[in-house]
Amino acid sequence: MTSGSRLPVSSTIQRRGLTALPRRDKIAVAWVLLLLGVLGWMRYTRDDATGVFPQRGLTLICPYSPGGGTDLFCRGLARAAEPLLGRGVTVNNITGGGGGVGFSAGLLARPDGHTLTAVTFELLSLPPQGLVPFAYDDFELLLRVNMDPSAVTVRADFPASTLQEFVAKAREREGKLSIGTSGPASVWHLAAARLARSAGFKARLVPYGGAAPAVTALVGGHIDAVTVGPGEVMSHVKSGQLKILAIMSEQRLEGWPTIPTTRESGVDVVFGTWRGVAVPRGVPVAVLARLRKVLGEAARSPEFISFAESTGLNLALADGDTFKAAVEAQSIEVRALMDELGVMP
Amino acid sequence: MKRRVSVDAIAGAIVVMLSMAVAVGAMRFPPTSGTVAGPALFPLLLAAIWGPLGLILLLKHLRVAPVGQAAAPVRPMVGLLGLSVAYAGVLPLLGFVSASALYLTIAIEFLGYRHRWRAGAVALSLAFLVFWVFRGVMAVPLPDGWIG
Amino acid sequence: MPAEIIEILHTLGSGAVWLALLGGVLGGLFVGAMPGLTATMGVALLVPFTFSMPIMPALALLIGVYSGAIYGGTITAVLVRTPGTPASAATLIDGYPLTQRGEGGRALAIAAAAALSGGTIGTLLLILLSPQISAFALRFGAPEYCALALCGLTMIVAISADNPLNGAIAAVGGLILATVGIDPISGYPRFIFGAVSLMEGVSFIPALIGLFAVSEALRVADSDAAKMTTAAQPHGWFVRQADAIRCSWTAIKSAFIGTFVGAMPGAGCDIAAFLGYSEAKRSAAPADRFGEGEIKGIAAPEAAKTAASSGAMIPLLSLGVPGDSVTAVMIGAFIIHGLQPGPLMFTEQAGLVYAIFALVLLSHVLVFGFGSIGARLFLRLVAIDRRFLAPIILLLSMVGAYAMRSNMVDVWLALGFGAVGYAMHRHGFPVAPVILALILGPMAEENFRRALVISDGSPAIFFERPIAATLLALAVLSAIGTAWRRRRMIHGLI
Repeated sequence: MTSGSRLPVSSTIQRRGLTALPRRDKIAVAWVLLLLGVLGWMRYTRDDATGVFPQRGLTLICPYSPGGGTDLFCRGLARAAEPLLGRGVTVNNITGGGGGVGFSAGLLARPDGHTLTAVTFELLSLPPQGLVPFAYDDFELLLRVNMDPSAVTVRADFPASTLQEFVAKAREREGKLSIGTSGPASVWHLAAARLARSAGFKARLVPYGGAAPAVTALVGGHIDAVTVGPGEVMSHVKSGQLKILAIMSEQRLEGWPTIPTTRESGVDVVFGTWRGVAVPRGVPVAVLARLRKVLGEAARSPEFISFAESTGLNLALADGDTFKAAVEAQSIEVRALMDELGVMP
Repeated sequence: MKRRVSVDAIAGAIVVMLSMAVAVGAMRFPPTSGTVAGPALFPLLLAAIWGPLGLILLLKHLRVAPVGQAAAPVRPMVGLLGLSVAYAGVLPLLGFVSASALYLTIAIEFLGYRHRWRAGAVALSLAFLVFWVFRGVMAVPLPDGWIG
Repeated sequence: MPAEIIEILHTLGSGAVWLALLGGVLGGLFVGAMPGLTATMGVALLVPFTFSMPIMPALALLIGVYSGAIYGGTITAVLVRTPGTPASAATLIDGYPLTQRGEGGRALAIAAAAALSGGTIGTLLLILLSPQISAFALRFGAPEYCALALCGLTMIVAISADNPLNGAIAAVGGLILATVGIDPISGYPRFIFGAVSLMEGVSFIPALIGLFAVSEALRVADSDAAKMTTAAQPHGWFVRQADAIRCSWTAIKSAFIGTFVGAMPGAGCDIAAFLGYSEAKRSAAPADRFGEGEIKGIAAPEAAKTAASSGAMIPLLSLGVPGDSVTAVMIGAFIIHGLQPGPLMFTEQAGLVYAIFALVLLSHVLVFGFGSIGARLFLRLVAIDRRFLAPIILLLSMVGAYAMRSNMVDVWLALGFGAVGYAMHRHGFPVAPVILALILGPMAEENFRRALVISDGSPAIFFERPIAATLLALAVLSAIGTAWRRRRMIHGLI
């Protein structure tokens, strides 16, 4: 790396005669030209000249850090889609702003279908806070892949084994029951607020820096309950430290056939987060159709299904129109909830 | 030592002004609701500590009259920082390998190395190496730009 | 027990496991040494690759990367004042002055030995006392974390060398900087001026890269400051006996601190390293010269952070609760292979757990081996012509800042922090307190206010709980003690 670098400049000139210098320079010139050639070749092969989508590898923007749930989801889906597209799909973690930075980057990308964005529930909860310059309908929603409803979870020794008993205990303690959430205005915070409103009790909502620290605090007995996704508490429930009282979904989940839904337990709440894929508006119709088809096939492939099972992703495929309708409905609900909670500035 | 006197006083003045700005900004945060500490509590508390600390620094060094400013050699550092700013500016436009190779070549020459071609060879090799490590090995994308 | 031994032997008899561990440690050393590529990121990017691997090689790879990366940051921190990982920032306070004196080889030898002893003690505690330590760690709730952060903040005066006023100004400035972003308790945006990129606060990695690596590269570029290197003095492969004896008690003490801090789910290797350093400095003998190349100042953070990386496995394996951000990512690899870390794993798959213990211990031994043998190679870093070294450090810093979040804003932040760090260094303001404030400030504020949410506003929560009360008392005593010992200096300043 440092052919001429170990010698100070003065001695380079003195010690190396004039005859030695040009030779080293000649090698350097040849090397520079060679590498420039490689660079040119890389540029030339970057775009396919045929003009048929996809002309080059795709990028899937993941708005959250590597190693998290959404990142795993992106990498699993990208891997399943690659053979169907015949091109590579690179996951790019553009993080920050609770997902806002990644969503913005996804919207600013050229609308040619080569840049996809993983969209999540936060697409609905960020705009009402007035912090991000976009709304969910700036995106063309392609496919919803999964939904994770909120699971009302308590310690195994909590004196309630059903949601009704839990609600009774909460009323009895007159607002002193504490529920851990994944941060102010986060999906699990809204889930807890929604539960308290529908069931008619008051509780202290304790914000933590994510679902995992809230679960840890529950295991340690510092709070009474959490309302996070079932995947977040799976290992603690299986080992008998925690128990799930009810899950806020329409029907019982396949992975948790014995756990009742909130509606079965007499509280009318369906709430949770979801993950899907979107592109900015303006992508040609033919490209949109191809992307929908490929992503749908990828999400139904046995490889992706077994991946989802092992990572605890609750699959809930929905095509563009169904996805859009669900998002529209939830958007109104979220806005109203945030108004009520006073998290909108 | 004498040169530092005035710099310390300026630093103190900057700290005092910044702490007042922080305090003014924090006053506009929603107030502490009920009994639970609100978002303004910590910034106000910290500004209340920072300001007086800056004032001590300012007053301590005002007592000694500042004596003539010795011109310190800062040129290489300023030039290199300027080059880095320019690099950050063109990186998304040109693309990683080309921008980095250009940046390294110019910076190495700027710092006094005379063999432009050798600097260029080292620069291009390094740019490719870093690109390969990030993109190839770690699968972390770097800006593509016009050239790559 | 014999079944466990068979499982360990079976694991270690597999070539794939050794290959994965070796590759992991080497890759980890590299990842750790690069500014911006942290242990968390290295492990997170590897987890998807381990999906298709058998379980033991997959775990060997991840454990190897973790141990390697935690040490790798030290190499660049000691030699070119560029901490590759946040945990290495404490080591450079005394490590870099040694390099400037030409004793970089000695510093690296001490660091490698301290890391090995810290890792060994941490792993032994992991094997012997996991249930007890994790039960203790779980008793840490919001008030305890707040008290722990305050304990750490009292050392700001300790690490600000000879000028407590400048140190305090730097630290409070850092604490104010740490309040930027969405308030984690109320959700209100503070000082972000409409920038979405600042919503999660001033990102820590660009600050670290800017204050240390960029500012150092700018200093190297200055012809005046270019005489940073005295010719490196030769040093043997391993630590000298006299050095080892001098540091042994410090290293052992730090290893215990590190293991406990690492085991706490809310505190990781970086906090462990700083707490280890501050304890060593607090209990310094009159002859110790902390901040000027004191070898105990290398041994303490190295032992603490390596022990913390073992300690982080304690709650992961015994409770299924990750001990830090790296083990939080690792949990994904366990689950994908059908393993549920937690109490059940200890009883149902004890053999596997013991094989993991063996891998953790071995990874520390391998890091020690590579660290010692590679030291001579690394020392050449110092010998690189400054006209090449400064631009290369700058380029790697900017790429590292970018790669963290794929965000150009972080490159600008790193450059801005670089200019500020350069000016601070030039005018006698220490930068280490800023880093410490950025780590501990949010921890103190968040947990203080979270505790008040839980207690409905009653401050009694901090005094009723024995651990929180003890830690608070320690913080107050330590602050008073430091002020008393430095009373003359503080008096002289005002």
